[in-house]
Amino acid sequence: MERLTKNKNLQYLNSLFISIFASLLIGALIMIANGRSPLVGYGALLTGAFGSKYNIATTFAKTVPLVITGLATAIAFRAGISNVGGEGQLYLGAFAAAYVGITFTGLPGIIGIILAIIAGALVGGAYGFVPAILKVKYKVDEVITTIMLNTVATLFTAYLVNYPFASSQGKMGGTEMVAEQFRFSRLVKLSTLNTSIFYMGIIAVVIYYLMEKTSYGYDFKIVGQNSIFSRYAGIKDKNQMVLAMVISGGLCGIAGALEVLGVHYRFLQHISPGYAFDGMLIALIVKNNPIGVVLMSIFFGALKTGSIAMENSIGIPSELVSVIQSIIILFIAGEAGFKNIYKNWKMKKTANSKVGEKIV
Amino acid sequence: MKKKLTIFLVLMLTVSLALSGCKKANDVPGASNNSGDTAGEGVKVGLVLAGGLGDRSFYDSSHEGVEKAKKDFGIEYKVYECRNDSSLLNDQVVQASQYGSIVAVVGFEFFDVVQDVAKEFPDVNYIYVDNEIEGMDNLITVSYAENEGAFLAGALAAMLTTETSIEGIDDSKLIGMVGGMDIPVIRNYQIGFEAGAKYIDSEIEIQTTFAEDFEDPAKGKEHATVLYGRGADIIFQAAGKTGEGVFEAAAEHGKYAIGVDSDQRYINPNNIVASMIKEVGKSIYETIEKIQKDEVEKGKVVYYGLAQDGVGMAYGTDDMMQFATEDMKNTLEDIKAKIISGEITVPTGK
Repeated sequence: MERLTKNKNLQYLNSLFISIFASLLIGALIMIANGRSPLVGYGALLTGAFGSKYNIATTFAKTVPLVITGLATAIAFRAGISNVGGEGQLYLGAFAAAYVGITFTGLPGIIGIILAIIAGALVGGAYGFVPAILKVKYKVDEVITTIMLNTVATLFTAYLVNYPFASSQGKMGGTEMVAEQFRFSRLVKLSTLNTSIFYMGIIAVVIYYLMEKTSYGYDFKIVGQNSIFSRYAGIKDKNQMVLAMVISGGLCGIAGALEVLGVHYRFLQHISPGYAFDGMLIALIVKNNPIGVVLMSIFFGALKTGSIAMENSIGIPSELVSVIQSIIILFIAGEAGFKNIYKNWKMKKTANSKVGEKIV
Repeated sequence: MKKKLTIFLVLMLTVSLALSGCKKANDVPGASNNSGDTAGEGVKVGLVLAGGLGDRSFYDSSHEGVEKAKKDFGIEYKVYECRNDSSLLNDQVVQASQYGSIVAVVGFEFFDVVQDVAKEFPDVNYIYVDNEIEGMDNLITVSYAENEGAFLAGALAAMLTTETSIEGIDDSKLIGMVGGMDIPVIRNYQIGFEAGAKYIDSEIEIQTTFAEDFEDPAKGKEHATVLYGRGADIIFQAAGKTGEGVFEAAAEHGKYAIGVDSDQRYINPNNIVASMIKEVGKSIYETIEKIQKDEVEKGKVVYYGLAQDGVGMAYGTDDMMQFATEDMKNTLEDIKAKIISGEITVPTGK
């Protein structure tokens, strides 16, 4: 059994690397078609992502929210419930953390920070709980409800930061800054990389342990693969789905909280450029594997940082990287299909050659 | 387990290989920035935009400003677009600061970022458009009286909305506005627009909606369609690229629109009656000039209102059909003079 899964994993890794390679190749072709040298282009991308201490720090700063939202989506997907509402959970969680940061200014640093993160997690989790309950009790499709709830959350927070909680200094669509002791310190000069990367590490380890080493993780997996079978096995599939969704929402909330406490020091109307959606893509690409999420997030973070540097230094538009990312996803989504085509072709070939042997 | 380890090691190897090929040029940024002298020749200007070029409005206006400075003073420039991605704000300002000795930052979104980064690059001069920050020696902020310009736009809309001689306009006193977002800058337009319309005719009804986006013409079209459907004849847009959708809706419904920030009549002279301009480019150009001549007041907010010709109305070129009659234009000139002299006080949304 174990050998079988390992073999499968290896096969998957193979197709993943082929996909990435193929999409980079297509990216190169696009560059050539535009009269650019792909070597120069990818060179600039690499230097932009890893060329100096500052660049590496920027890459990892971009990685933090992706890892957390990626894990959040992975855990929900694995339990067979699709959390497409990460963005809304992130916004509300971020706002909750900012609220704690501007209200409880008397708290000492460490308690305050933990409280803010917990507030983010609770609010995000509660916001994930609603569509989950609707799904298991009334069979309302969670993809639709979560997508809709995104808009509700972003517009609601937009209202909050423009009216009741609007910052008094500067016009910017944001809350006041959180108190000094709530702010994470920056690790590398000029970059936004901050100590939230350590929180991210802890979260990643905990989620990995939960998904791979505990009975909860096993239950999630069974429910996700076959909920009817799981019921026969004595797993309360509905409870598991709700739990997975709440954990997922909570993680997204934490991702938002870390953005507030680590990067902007206040809640901003457009605090996330779609982190939760990027995280979802990452979870899809690595088939909900927690280690895969971390590695793929670093890859995505590097692509993003590198693409901006590429645009600034040699004028190749950073959108090219979106194209590359989309092609990777296309290939991964079509993985089974491509495999079948390849298998059929191979079978035909062997069949033909055998027929041929007989004739000769 | 072994296989996982192998894969991990291979990955590490690839990354380290990639790293070894890179040089260590950018490690100490900001050190060699001050090489250009004040003559203008060879001075580098980084232009950082919160959104992206191609909105034919706010950001393009700032681009025109540096382009003109390039022609007149021989500066070099480079544009850094953030495309409304909040995670890029810091990076792009940092990169622009490493590139240029003058950095023009356009967009209210940069409030925190520009203060943080300006501290780290004391030799770089920052021009920050659309917000107000005082007391930093290398930071000049430019603030506009959008409300004064929008007052004129409101007055024009109020005069036009009962002008039934123009095709497509009925005698209802409803006008509309599509704002980009419900934020202080845009509210400043809104309040000015409403006050201007009421100044002409206190019975005018103004309906305002916010598209919650500066980059999405589809949303602008949706909002404008709703407003035209309710019977508005003329819509003022203050929504950047989103506003292009307002123009499309105007063309489809045979109704009218007022453009914003740049003179936008050329986009569709048959449906865009005029534009309220906000001279972002001019203010950047003038500030660059002042920095060159070392005439700039350090750490101050520079205000651009009607008096400084920082905002105003534009009616396109002469070959376009003019919807605003000479009478209307004269009335607007009157109002402008009264605002400058202080006879009319325009309420502010900031």
